[in-house]
Order: sequence, then C-alpha cells, then structure tokens
Amino acid sequence: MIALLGLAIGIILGLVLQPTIPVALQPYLPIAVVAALDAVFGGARAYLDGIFNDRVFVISFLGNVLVAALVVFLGDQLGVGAQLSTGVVVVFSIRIFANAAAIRRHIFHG
Amino acid sequence: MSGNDLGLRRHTGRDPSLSLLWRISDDALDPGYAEAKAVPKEGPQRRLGHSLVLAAALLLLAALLSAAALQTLQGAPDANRTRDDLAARVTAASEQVDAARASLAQMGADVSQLRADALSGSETDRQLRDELLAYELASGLVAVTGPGVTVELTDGPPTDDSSEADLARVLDRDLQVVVNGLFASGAEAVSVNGQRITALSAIRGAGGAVLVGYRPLSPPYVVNAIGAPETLERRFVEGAAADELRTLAGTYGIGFTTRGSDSVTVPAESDLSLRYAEPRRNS
Repeated sequence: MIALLGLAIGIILGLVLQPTIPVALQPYLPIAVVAALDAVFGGARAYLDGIFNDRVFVISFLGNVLVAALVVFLGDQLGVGAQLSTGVVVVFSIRIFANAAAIRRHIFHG
Repeated sequence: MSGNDLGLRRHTGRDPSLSLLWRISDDALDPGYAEAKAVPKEGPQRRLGHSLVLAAALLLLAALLSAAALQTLQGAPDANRTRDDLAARVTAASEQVDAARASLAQMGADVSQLRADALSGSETDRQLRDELLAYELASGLVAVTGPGVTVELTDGPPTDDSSEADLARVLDRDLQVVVNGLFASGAEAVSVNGQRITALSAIRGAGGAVLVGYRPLSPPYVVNAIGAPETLERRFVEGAAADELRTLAGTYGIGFTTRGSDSVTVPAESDLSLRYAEPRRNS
C-alpha cells in the first residue's frame, strides 16, 4: 500500500516538477532507465516466485542504476562509451526478456 | 526450484560458446532473492521500515521514468526546431540574394538610362548608342518583348516504384531539349521561369533540382521564347524537340503544352560580366 503510494507520488513528482537533469548526467539517463526496468522486472518475477524481498529489490534497483551509469561514465572517459552503452543495454535486455518470459510462464501456467 | 541448480542443469548439453549469454539469462533473477529467502523473517517493526524504503525506491523509480519520458518528449521538438531554424536561415539568405539581384537589375537599368542620356548629343553618339543597344539586345542585357510561344512543362504523377521516381520528373535534359529546339526554330530570346538564357547560361541538374544559370528552379517550368509569329511555333511543334517531349509525356505523364502568343516578355539577365575574355585590339 505504502509502496503503491510511493509509486504514484513519484510519477506525479516527475511530471509536475519536471526535474531538469543536468546536462552532464543526460547521457546516462536512458541507461539508468534500462537498469531500473531490469530491477523492476526482476522484482516482479521474484514476487510471482514468492521470494520477493524489499531489501534485495531496493539494493538491486539502486545498484543497477548506479553501476550502469558508472560503467558508461567510465566508458565515456576511456572513449568507448558508445560500445559500453551497447553492452549494458544488451545485458539488461537479455535479463529483462528472461524475467519477462518467467513472469509470462507464471501468469499463463498458474 | 532455485535459479542456480536450474542453471547448472541447463548448462550441460549447450553450445559452450554461448555460455556468457546463457549465464546472463539464467541469472536474470537477482540471486539475492533466493539468498534472502533462506534468512529467517524479521519482526513487524523491521518490516514497516522496509516498506518505507521500498516506497522511497519506487518513488525514485517512478520519478526517474517520468523524467526520462519527459526528457525524450522535449528532445524531439528540439531537433525539429534546429531544422526549422536552418530552413528559416536558408530562406532568409535566398531572400537577401533575390533582393540583391533585384537591386542589381535596377542599377543596371539606371546605368543604361544614364548612358543613353549621355549618348544623345551628337550623331556619332547616337550611332554608338544604337550599336550598344543592338549588342545588349543580342546578348540578353535588356528585357525584350514580342510575339512568340510559351512552353510549359510539369512533373508527371509520382510513381510508386522509387527506382523510377526520377523518370516522371522534368529533368535538366528535357529543358535543354526544349530550349535548343526553340533556338533551332528561330527564337531570338528565351527565358526559363524568368531566367534569361544567354551565351553564358547553363541548364543543368544538381541533386533533384534543375539549375538555370546557378539558380535552382522548381516546377512548373515555363519557357518563353520570342520569334517570328508565323513560323516559330509551327517549326517548334513539328520539330524533333517537341517530338521527344511528346514521347516523354505519353510514356511518363510529363505535362507538355505549347501555346503561341502575340506578346511574350523575356526578362534581362542582370549579370553578364566577362572576367577573362577581353576585346581583341585591332592594331
């Protein structure tokens, strides 16, 4: 209940306040979003598996976002930012697809 | 079933070269969930704190997603704005060029007028003036009017087949054929969309556009020609050029119309300066 409230408030805050992301951070926003989505799909699958744990979810969410942004930032400094972004997106996409497949099996096979 | 022994079992009998991909998809669920499951449950006090942390994380997540969505939505108009800016600058620049050309033409006319005034004194002056005017007429430095024909060319209907998209368009070659055909039929002055064809004019294509004397033109192309009222139109219509255009019109749907007129105006070419050629001195 509190979690859903947080979700709703977050959407409203994002839309109403329209936070301006600093220009320096803008390249990492899409990567952070993909990483966050991965954490969300992981959490949803764990919930359906009956092993959801809020602590793990929070840590994986924050960890994913920070590490993904950090990896791309390092890549940018080393001149391979575009390639590392691709790598990060590929890895997270595969995980998202795998988790989505597991969620689908849960829903359709009871 | 735990993710780990599922992974071990499924790793056997798989292409080992794909092990990295398999590992990514097998470990898709954070192993932390399975490990946390093994730890005994906490008391209700701790759980409330955890719910708040979860709510905060979800709040952050939702804010992140909506901020990213807004960012993307606002980024698209930015790109459009840049393109519109550039287009506006191109339009403004070509308007400036047009204005400069108009003022050049005006100044040219003023110069001619002043020269005509200056050369109206003696008999030799008048002779010189008439000679000058004859040269200007022939070279295209003055606007002329007289009986003639107007030929209009329009693009054909666009074809679905992209490889043949160019064929239904009026090309620089088609305009060359028309202009050459008109001169061959006895035209004395010819203009295309208001651009006088002089000894220095080139009709050519650049990209998809037709350029006459470095100025890009757009369809419909109106070719005005001044010539003998009885013969110009007949000779042009019966000539090889009109024949070729009729074939194009029949095959690709290019619009091709010719009509005679009692009064056709052909404008002057404002810039006919020679930079390298000099008069030969008879000494």
